Amino acid sequence: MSFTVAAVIRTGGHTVSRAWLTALRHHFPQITSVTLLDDSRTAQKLARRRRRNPELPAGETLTAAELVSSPDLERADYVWFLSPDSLPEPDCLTQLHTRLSAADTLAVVGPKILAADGDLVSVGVTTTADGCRYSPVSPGEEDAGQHNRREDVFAVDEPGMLVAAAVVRQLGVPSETLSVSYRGIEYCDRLRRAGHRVEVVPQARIAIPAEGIGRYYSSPRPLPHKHIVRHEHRYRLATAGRGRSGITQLRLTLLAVLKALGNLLANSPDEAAWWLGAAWALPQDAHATRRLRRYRTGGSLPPSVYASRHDLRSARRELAGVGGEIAADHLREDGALNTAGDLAEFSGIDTRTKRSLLFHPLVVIVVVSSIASALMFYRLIGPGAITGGAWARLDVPFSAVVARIFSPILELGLGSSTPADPLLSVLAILSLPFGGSLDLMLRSLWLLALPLAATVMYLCAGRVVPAAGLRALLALIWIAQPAFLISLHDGRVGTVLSWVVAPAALWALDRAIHYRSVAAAAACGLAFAVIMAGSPFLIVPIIIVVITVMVVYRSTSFIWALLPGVGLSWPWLIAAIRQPDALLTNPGRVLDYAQPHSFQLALGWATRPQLSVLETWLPAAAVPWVLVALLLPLLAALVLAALRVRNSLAVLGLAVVCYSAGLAGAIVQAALEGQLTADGLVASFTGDSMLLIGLGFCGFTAAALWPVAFDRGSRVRSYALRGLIPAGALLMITAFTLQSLLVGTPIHRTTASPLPAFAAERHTGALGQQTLILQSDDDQLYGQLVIPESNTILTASTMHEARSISGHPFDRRPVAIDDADIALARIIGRLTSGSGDDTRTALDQLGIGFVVIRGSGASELAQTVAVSPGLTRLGATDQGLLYQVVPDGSPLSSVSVVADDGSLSPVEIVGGRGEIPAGTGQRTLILAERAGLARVQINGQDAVREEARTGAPSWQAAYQLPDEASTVTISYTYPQYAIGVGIGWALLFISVLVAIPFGNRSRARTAPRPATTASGTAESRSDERGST
Amino acid sequence: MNRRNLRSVLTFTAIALPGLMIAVTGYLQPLAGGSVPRGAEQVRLPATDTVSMCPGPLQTEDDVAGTDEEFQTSDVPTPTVRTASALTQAPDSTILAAGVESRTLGGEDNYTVGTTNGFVSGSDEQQDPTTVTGVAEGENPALVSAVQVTRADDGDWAGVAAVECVRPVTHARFATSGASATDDVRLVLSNPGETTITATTEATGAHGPIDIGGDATVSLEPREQRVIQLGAIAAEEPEVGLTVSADGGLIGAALQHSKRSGLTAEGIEMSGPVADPAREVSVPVAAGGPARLRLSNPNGEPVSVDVSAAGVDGPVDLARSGTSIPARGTVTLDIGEIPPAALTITADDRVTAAVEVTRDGDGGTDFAVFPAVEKLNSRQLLMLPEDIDASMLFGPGEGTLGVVGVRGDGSATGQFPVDLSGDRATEVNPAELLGEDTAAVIIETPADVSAFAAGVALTGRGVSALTVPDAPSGIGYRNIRLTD
Repeated sequence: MSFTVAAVIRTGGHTVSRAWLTALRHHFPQITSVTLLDDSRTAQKLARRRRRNPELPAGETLTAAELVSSPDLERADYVWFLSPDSLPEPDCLTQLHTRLSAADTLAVVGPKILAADGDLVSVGVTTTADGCRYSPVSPGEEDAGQHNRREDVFAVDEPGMLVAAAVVRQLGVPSETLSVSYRGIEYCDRLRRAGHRVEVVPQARIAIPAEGIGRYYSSPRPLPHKHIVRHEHRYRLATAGRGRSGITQLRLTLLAVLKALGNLLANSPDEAAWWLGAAWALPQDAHATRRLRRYRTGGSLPPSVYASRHDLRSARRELAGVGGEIAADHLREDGALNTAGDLAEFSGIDTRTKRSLLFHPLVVIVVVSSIASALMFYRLIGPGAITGGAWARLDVPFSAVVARIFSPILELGLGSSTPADPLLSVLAILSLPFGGSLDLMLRSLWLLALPLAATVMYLCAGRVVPAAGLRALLALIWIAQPAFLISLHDGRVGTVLSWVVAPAALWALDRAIHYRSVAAAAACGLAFAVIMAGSPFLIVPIIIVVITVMVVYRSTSFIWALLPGVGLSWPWLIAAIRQPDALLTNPGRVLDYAQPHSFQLALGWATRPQLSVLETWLPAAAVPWVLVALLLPLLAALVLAALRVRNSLAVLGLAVVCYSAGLAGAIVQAALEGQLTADGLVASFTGDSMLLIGLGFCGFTAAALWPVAFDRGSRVRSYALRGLIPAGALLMITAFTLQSLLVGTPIHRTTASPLPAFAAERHTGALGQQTLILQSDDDQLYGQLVIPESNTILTASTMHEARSISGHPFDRRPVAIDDADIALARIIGRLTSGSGDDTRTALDQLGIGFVVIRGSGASELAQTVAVSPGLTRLGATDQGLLYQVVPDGSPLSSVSVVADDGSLSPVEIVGGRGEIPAGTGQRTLILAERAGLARVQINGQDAVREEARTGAPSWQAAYQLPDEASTVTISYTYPQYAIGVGIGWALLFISVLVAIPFGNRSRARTAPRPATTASGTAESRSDERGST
Repeated sequence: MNRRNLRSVLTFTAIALPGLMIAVTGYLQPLAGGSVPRGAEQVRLPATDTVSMCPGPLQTEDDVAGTDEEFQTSDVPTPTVRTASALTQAPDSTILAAGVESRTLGGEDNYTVGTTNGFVSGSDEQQDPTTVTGVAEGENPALVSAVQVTRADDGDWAGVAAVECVRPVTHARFATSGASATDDVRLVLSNPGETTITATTEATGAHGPIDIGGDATVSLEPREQRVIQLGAIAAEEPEVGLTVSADGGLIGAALQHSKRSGLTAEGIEMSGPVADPAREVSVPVAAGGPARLRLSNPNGEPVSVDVSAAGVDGPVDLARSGTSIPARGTVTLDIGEIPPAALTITADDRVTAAVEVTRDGDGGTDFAVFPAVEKLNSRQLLMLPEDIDASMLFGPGEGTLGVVGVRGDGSATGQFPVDLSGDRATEVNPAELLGEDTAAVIIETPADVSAFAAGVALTGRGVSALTVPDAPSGIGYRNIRLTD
């Protein structure tokens, strides 16, 4: 059918050749009128003059306003926009018209735009969500029909665009104020918002002159010239919406300034200047585009029309590879294939390094956390041993650590039979790369804890959230949890280790479930072993989780998630069955803390929020509230995650489970008798449950921010969260850093040794003398039996703490001390009674060779103690006033022979062996420890225990002695126990081997296979045959 | 259930469950039952010998002798020493009274008595300082006390000086008036042990520490007694606070005080050390009369004190009820005339105190010095002087004590309860309550009762304070904390 077309040629200031116009009208008889459109300022001035002065002759060119009201337009059905010297193909107009008239909702169609040599230029374009032009056509792409199926596009470019005339009359023409790149896009956007559709017709083709083709490609980065930013800004301002130009200008200004800074950092000052210049010119651009904004009627476009940033990045890489403009000799040279460039051009894989690694989110987080960690703990670098807080001294030889792990005897006070803490095994293994120095290893761990925890969380969060920025956000939340920072400050080794390892455990468990992989289950088990050693409170939740997983997925391979933990700590676990209080302990020294309220627990505070450094700036009553408020954005993330519809149900469910379990556990630990106060009783640290709460917060944040939503409300909320959560986290880290810098942490270096050197030497010598430390503070007398290993990790035992309390959950009471400790207390009482009592025999029986007196009341106590005969004052040492017990006769020893008349003679033990001379009468061999701990052999045979003799109290280890001279062997190794522990370690080693993923067989299955039928088996057999 | 329902359930759980947990436990206070600090272990110490040092006759060397024959001072009256050993119970329930060994400081044996069912000696005249040792048998504590009485009805030494023989200690403190023309104050130090001890004396006065110089440290050979004259080390000080520290052993310290105004004798007194410094000091003053309170402050900062008194009939008004003591200083507070009352001194920091009471008797005045005392503790034995009226004053307290009388033949009366009242002192006359022939009084204090007591010996001419001796070791418990 016939139709009339008004051709509109945008002159752009050039002259239009008559020949071309004639040819145009010749080829396309439907063109009834040709109008030259010129919106330059001179034309506008002329137009205004003409309006004022109607007698002036009509010029050749019209402005947009005139065009819309021109009579030519009223007579025509369609308007065809052309650029000068463009060559439409003969059937271009018919194709366009056929398509346009076929649908009522279509308002504009565009042809495939080609270059003069046949390369593609534009086949429909779109933008990203923030307004950068994206064209799927790469520079130099030849037309091989690959885009012939595209129809539904966001916009078409102006050359060759066919629009219904009624629409032009209503909505105007593409605006001159925008550049060629965005003109068509803005116009189509305008039409779309008015409810019309846009399509591209690839069968219709138009060729445009070669110059200026570069403007039809995607928005390039790095900027080839300075106008591109202005074009993009103008487009953004034109599409800003009524009344929002101010906010848009502000945003664009901020972005431009940031980009300028980024370019300055990246050593491209020219580009920085362009950005700043564009920012400066924003008001001018806003003014120029003000008329366009009034077209912004309501309605938002569905997000699917936009391109993603990923696509734009690929397009930009292609542009940058070619140089922004199409290269004349783009064609591939014959010769050696250079696939590197091709790979970069034709695939989406980025094989070149990005421009600035500094801006990668993980690097930012690691740098920030490294700086914070260095500022917090730089004092730990230096000579000496670390002590303080909950940190037990670690300056012990590696052999002593191994001996403790393989021996069930705890040399604390008068000795007891207590299995070693599993944490000791973990520390021993971790210190192997450091040459066996636990102190060095743990110091390094402390300095690296923040970046390490962030990195582990970043790597493991990839399972849940693919975007790098969000992963970094999760890592930041993880390390900024107050429980973690408090644990670092207080020296809670176990909790810190668990915190570093926990995300890896969950990641490995997820892989184990997803791939049914035994290797992943074993890796998960190794991580669980560390957590079980570091946070005993989590042993029960871990066991429950593993058993649940085994039951739900009906697979016994998940037992590997428990085996390493059990192997590492089975003696302790068995003892914990009888002493469930051990599950409430925290490894290390006992440190109590101010109990938090449960709403503070719910926000992640393991203790009552209090940082003394903030009290200098804020009133003391406000500090807890301020600290709690820093974590409120996480609570907002919780609510947002719960309310969103499109996030992953699994992540949300897991987060809910973790958070609730953590909160319940923390409440149990804090409010319901998990904690008992100082003086060596159990103090259950809520930080263990805070681990679960931290994981819950990370899960909630992931569910709140992923997947990214494009509607405005979600974007506002998500940006608010993305701003508030890091702000809160950084403030928290800053507060703790300031606390550590200005006030100090409880953990510190000390070069003082626990015992005076003389006393320590006598202990390690043949006589094995112990030291009694008496401390008088505020009228309270403290006594402690000390050996060089006291107050170190060798004598810190959670089982020992657990054994000292008893009672049902609502009435915990300390256990009364046993006979051995009563005897020790009596000796202390007699020494300090000031009555001149001769305590030498009693001291000799316990092998106490030295007495150290210290504390605020030391001088008075010393005078009282000095009254006792046999104490020689040796002098004042770092540890206090040192007195030596000088018995009349032979020296003191921890192993003595008691004769008939009660006199004691020492036995020197070297390397576990000692010689006893012959003697008459009933002699008894006594050891300065509780009965039943040492394995004593006399002349190669097991010694017989002596029961209840005078001179040998019943709690003390006493053995019968023959009359003749004999050899006594004392050892603290129990072969069965050592073998048992060794089997556990072997299990651990096997788990390590299992955890190393050899081969890909475990990845083949992703779901349980259905029962194979006979044909199924035949198929699989033929597959195998086929593949060999 | 399908995914939508599951999502709704999850949403509800995510918001409701934590909210519920917080709401329920939000302000839950930790249950008090289990937050028990691991307290100190109460250790019962084994019984050891109880040693009481009787200082011997009044020392008069270097006394200013008159040049005229008429002004020759009379002879010093010979003191008498009386001892008693009371029944005690061992942890294994055997009951016996410990044996007593009495010997002079020089080593001569006076007498030795084995374990009995109760023993009271006669009043033996002793020319030398005497050591009375109660020998602990097994686990039975040795509840043995002795009292030394110097008594004269006329002459230059008229008056009564009765002192419960002192226990050897490492630190002894006194708060006394200084030496002057009318007062002769001497510190008597004895070493009852076998080792040489060094005794260091520090003195404080009204204006702060007093520099003693070379005499501050004396060395005492085994069984040696030395006397330090306050007139020599702290001349012309109106009041002096003394602290004697012994190094290398235990020292028996007593203070001898005699007043003479020209030719008129104004009394004699011997007293033992006051209680250790404390923030709340109790001084039971069992005799009435014009009283002066001496307060000593061993701390580095000035201390302000408040004094209150509770008499038998209720609170007593004092002429002065508060003062401040300079750092390391001693002050005298004139509190006027008081009836027998228990003084309570409260201070910001630890102080010691003693009260000097003057009494007009037949033929002259005498004075008594009541020191600050420790709390009564389990079983204590107060010896009473023979043929001298004695009376006891218990300070205010809550609860009931028991007193048991020990008769002259060593047998014990039954226990008589003494009810303490909260705001007034209680006076007990042993002769009336326990019988005419009561030689000693056993004060039994239950563990939860906090009380103080002092005794006073009264004759027509003189008055003297009797301090209740400490409980022997083996009775009661000490608090010791064992740390790991």
